[in-house]
Amino acid sequence: MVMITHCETETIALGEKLGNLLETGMTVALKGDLAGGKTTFTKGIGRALQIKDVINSPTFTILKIHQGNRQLFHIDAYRLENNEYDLGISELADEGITVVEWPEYYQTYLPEEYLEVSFQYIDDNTREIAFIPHGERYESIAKEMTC
Amino acid sequence: MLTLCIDTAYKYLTCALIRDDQIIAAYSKECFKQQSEQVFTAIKEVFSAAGARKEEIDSICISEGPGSYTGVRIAMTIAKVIGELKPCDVYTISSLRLYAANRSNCMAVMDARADRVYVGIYNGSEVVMEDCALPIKEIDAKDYLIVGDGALLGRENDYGNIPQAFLLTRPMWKKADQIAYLTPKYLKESESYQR
Amino acid sequence: MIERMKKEDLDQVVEIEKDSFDHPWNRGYFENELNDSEIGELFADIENGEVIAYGELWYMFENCDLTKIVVKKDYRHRGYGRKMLKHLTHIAKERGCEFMHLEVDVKNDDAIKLYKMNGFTTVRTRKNYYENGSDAYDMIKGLIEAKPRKVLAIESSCDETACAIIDEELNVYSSVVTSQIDVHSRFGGVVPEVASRMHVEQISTIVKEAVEQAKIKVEDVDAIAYTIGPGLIGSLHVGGIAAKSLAFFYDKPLIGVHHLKGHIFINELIKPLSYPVMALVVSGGHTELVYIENDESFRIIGTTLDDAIGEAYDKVARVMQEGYPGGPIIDKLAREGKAHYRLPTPKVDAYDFSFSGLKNAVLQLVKKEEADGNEINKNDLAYAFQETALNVLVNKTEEALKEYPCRSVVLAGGVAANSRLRELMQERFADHDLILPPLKYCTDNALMIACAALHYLKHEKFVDLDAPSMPSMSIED
Repeated sequence: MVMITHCETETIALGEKLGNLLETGMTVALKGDLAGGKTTFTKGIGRALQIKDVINSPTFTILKIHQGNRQLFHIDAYRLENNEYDLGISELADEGITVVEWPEYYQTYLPEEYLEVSFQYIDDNTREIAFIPHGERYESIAKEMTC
Repeated sequence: MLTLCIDTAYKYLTCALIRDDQIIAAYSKECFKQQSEQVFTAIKEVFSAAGARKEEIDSICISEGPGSYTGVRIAMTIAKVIGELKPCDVYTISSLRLYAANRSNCMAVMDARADRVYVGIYNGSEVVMEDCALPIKEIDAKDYLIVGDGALLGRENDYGNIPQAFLLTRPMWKKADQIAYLTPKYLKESESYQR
Repeated sequence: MIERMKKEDLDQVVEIEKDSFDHPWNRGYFENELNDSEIGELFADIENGEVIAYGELWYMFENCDLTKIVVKKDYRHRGYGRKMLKHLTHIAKERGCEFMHLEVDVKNDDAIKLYKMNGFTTVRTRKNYYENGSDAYDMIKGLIEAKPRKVLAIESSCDETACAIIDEELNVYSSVVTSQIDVHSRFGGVVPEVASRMHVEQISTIVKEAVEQAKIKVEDVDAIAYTIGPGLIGSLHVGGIAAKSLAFFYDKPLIGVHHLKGHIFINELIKPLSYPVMALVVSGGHTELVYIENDESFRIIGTTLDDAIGEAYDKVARVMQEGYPGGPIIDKLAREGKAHYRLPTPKVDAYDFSFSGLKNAVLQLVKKEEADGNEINKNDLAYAFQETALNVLVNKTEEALKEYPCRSVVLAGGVAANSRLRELMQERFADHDLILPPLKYCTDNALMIACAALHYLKHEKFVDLDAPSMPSMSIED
């Protein structure tokens, strides 16, 4: 279940496609290096949700909340390092779509079911993007994304 | 003695004025996640309905949680700021205990998300089980009257008469010795990040 | 010494009266006033048993009439009239009078001058007022001195809980801030829920401390201000509820301040802004060029298309495996660095900014050096990044000033503390009225919210108790 994108525009378009498939309450985990395309992809999801403000990775606040026709909870878990504190995210998650960058540091909070999206840096413009469903309700979405 | 009671912990926005042993005005509406905008409208309403002046209050009683994180902070912030500056006494009560309102064999439950509930068991003024967060599947509710989110346990939702509950539970109100150190009871993790 | 007139003074007073007026008040009138007049009060200036001057006030609700001031002939032009007037004004103020009124013969130049010198103004002329057919001036003086109004402000938009009190003359009564930085640096960033909880823990202590340090009571302030947005929703709520609590329980008007206006107006503590103003707003959440025509008109002419400058610093610090927050760390490393690495200058149209590409360039450079087996010189890399990023900021500001000529140029926001940015601003905008915020007020504080709130107060822009917080409010709103 892998797609190749050749420029930012394609990555955004792919994110927008996913944004249109996601239901409220769903979680997407974005794996990959810095500059791997995760934030670009999230911009696409934001476009599907009709979010007008700039989407960038939320280093400063760790969680950014964007309001569109639905809410987007954009998390950068890089520095959370799996600590045990309650981040209050579970209180929000039901009411919008959660996108987590660096989910490897977010194991404590990650719900049992989510969609994993994995980014591979090929060259400056090219990215290999894989969709891995965790849980039944994400299977059809992953399939849809790669056809 | 005039006490302003406020509960914003969960689905309702409740304000009540209790003078001596009587509720002299009350406001209670379902207002989930809108409390922060509406709370002063509600407080204004109870003062004008009671014909009381806000200078007259000598104490505030609030529900301290558990509940929605944003919700519990609203009443707590009002109580802390006014309690410290006016100054006046501040009393707190668990929101679950408030909803149980001294009923016998009563289990108070509230959705804690992710298939968990906040739950406390009360028998009149006695605490049978301290408030805590538990997975729904671990809850055995068959011997109890259920208040709060009963639907989560296959029963009816019932939040009771919250203004009345403030009056009934008055002997159980805890007086804050140091208002500055009051914190909401979030229940799901350590109470402070200071450590 | 001036005292209330007594019966034993009357013999002398009646003599002076006869000596001074064609139509003097008679003894009976004075006796009447001394005995049972509720509204009139007579005063006499007595030295060694001799009456030098006397005067009378009539009280009418919040106003009072100065019915007469008389100085004995031999003592005129020696300051006794002024002394009596001052004393009577003082008495009237103490009685709570708001205005003092008098009539004076239009031909009595000496008296008119005395009154004018002491703050009276002529409001009209009464024709044929006196029995001899003379006209009179009606003169009044306001007794309430306009005290500069005070504002109490609360800031809680991100990770600082703060409260400050200031007055319209920019006298700072108090400014209390607690930072949560120690807690958040454990997470490497501000976790919204953690920030909200800390605000609730701190809020009452901070507000109380600010009020106590100011040595005033909440009753003494004229308005309550708070940061209404932008910021973290949960954090904004706590400050908002605290401010509304005070506004409600103490019956004060409520002011909802835009956070960035605070960063801009804190510069007024240095000197007044000369409009129009160009503000370069740089922080962890913002990178904006704001053209300010007057204190009510803000226009964003440039903004970041991706990362805020502060975030770019954080991310580059992350690439270099340095700590958080990135700003001060990189600034410090760059001080030791030299021109060695080359990074591409971000190219964006007009006055907008982009730092995402620069961050990627840093990452690629690090990867390439690692692949080549070279050790990265962190100082030089920090230098290269900082020079590139900051030059973009000042170049765009310079460009913008060509299209939008301004008198003042101000720097605002947390990144305004960056030492190199301050240097560059001074180098490039020396020909403008350049204002750099005091270092201690670059990070979030409530004094800045109070400074901005004074402008809202001036324009009577208040909000209601049900005003919602606005996490993504624009400065143009």
